[in-house]
Amino acid sequence: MELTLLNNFLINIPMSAIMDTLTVLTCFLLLGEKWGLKKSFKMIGTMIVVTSIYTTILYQCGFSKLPFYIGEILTLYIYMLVVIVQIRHFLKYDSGTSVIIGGLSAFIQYNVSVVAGIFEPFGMNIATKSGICLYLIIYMVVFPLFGFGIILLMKKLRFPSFIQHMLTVKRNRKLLGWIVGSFPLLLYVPEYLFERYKEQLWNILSPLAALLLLVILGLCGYIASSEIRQEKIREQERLLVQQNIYIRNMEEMQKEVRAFRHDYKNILAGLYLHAQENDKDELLAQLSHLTDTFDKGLGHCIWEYNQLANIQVTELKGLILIKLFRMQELGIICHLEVPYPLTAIDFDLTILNRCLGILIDNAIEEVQNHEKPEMDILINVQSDGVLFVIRNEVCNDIGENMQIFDIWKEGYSTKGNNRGMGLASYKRILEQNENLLSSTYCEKGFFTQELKVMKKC
Amino acid sequence: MLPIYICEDEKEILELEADIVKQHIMIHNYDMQLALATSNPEEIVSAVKKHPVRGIYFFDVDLKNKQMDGFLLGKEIRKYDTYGFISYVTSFRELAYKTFEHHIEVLDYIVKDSPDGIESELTKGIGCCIDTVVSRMEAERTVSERACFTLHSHDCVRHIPLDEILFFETTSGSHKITLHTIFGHLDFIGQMRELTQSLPEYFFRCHRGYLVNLNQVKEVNRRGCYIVMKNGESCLVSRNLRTETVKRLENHIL
Repeated sequence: MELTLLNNFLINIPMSAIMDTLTVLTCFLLLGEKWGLKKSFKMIGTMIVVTSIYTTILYQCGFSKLPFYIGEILTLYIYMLVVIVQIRHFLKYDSGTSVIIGGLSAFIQYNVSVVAGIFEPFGMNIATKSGICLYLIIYMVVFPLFGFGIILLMKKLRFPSFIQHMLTVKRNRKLLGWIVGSFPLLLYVPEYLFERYKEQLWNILSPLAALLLLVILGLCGYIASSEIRQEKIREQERLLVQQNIYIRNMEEMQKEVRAFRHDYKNILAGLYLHAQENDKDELLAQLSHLTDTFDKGLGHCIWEYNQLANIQVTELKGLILIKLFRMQELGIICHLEVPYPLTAIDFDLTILNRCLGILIDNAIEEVQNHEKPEMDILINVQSDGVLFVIRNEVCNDIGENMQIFDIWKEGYSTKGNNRGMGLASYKRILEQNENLLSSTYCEKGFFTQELKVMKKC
Repeated sequence: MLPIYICEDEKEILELEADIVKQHIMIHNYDMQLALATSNPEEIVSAVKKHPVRGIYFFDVDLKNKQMDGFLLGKEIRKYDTYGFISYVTSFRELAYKTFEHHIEVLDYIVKDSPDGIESELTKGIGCCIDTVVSRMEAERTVSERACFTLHSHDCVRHIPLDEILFFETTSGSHKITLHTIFGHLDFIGQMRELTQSLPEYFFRCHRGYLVNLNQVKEVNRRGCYIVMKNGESCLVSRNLRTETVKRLENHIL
């Protein structure tokens, strides 16, 4: 049976269909993206068409007969490129993430397909009928089983969260990028070297691919876990700093209390005198002065600490303390309010802290150039969850001209370009988490950002 | 006859407030009556439960009752009297309590923070509140009430005027619906199908994920793939609804 252009193309279609589906699945898994039927269909569809066309063309041009496995290496690179472009285009990730995730998933599934090839007997000829049957069995049954197995394994080992964690650090991104970029070379150069000495006695490519797969997965896991450990240490250090801030503020309050204790007898004595003399006007004036100073000084302190004491989730308290401290430095008056004790939150606290950090930073950025910078933060425990409200005044000109939804666009900021990344990632978090409800509105000169963490039913 | 309820745990201030209310009603000859003035929030709840009619409420925020402060009381009252007028009397000027506004729909805040001027502050504040209630009720009578979309979640009730709504948006497989209004957006848990049935006809489901207020449409993209709203946001139109969307829009404008 002659392998014509058409035959070749037809054979390539099911093969790429399986491979592309697996790759796209891997991408979704690694990105932690929610599985969208429409999006993935689009991605898989385009990929099947593109990959079958270019593999056919490359095969027909005799690429696979080129020395040094240049053909194979090039094919793999092109495949990776296709996946990367797909992620960038359909899932709208930035280039760095697309390159790493796309490259990694393409490589993993390509490797799996090579591993599946270990069942391929020597000298199999896909130009014969039995050869085609064998080829089909290997690549239609064995390979997809392998691929799904790898995906399930990665999911079980929480590999995606490792990768996502690695992506947050710039150095790791570079490292991953290099590894991903050199994959095809790593796979084919040893094969070439071995072949020269051992005259192709056995199929070395498959075990090599398996080994490479294990090494890469293990390496990523190791780097990520050590990174997570370090992150924990850093977290502890941060906590220590927060405690210090807290203690310092407590000491200041202590001083105020001492001062007040010193004063109050004198003040009371004065009041007593005025009362004795029936000097009602003076008495009233002094009383009102007293309440005024008390409210502004110690009263405010006590009140603020009562609020902080109501936040009984350490991580959250840490974030709020740090932000309060920063606002103090910037001269922003913050009214924090936590009317009821908050003992636990039914949600990943790192993600929640990230969201709140973004919201508070937004408000700080908006408010810090105001004449009288002020901000309200409310944390309210409700029967069905916890509500966070951050509210600040906006300048009139912004409030009226700004289209509120513009701020959700990537890179948009009222302060110039490239500073609005925060809200875009906030939005992504919202999309990925069903039990986070947000609302944002601009009304009567106030910009209010609300985030509600719903209790899981 | 509108009943007025007062809850305040400082006895002198309670009496003062009751006097002010009575006086104000008498002077202006309003159709109102001081129904109950007490320091015990539970009494208020049981009284309202017995006669659930629209009323006016003045509550102190910091009630010393352990189970119920002013805001919990307000929330409780809202269960029986959705459209009542709740005002708060507080001694802290700078509280962020205002943020509660959206959760119980508070009419006003009266601040009593200077001890020498408390009487004048209360007289002015309470008088103002009662006058606002009167003018608001008159306005409701003359102008046909602005149609509202009412959002019930466990803890709060919000009334959003229909003419401020641009569209509803959801993603497939999600129970989270985002309501886009002129002023911003708001997430809630719900179902698109129920929404479509409960809203008037000019809300058109042009896509599985979009329910659009036809009054707020600015333009339709020429190929009919998406609708641009008056604030510039855009909504998708599903392929097989393109012609119908355009037809509905034309009919609606005519």
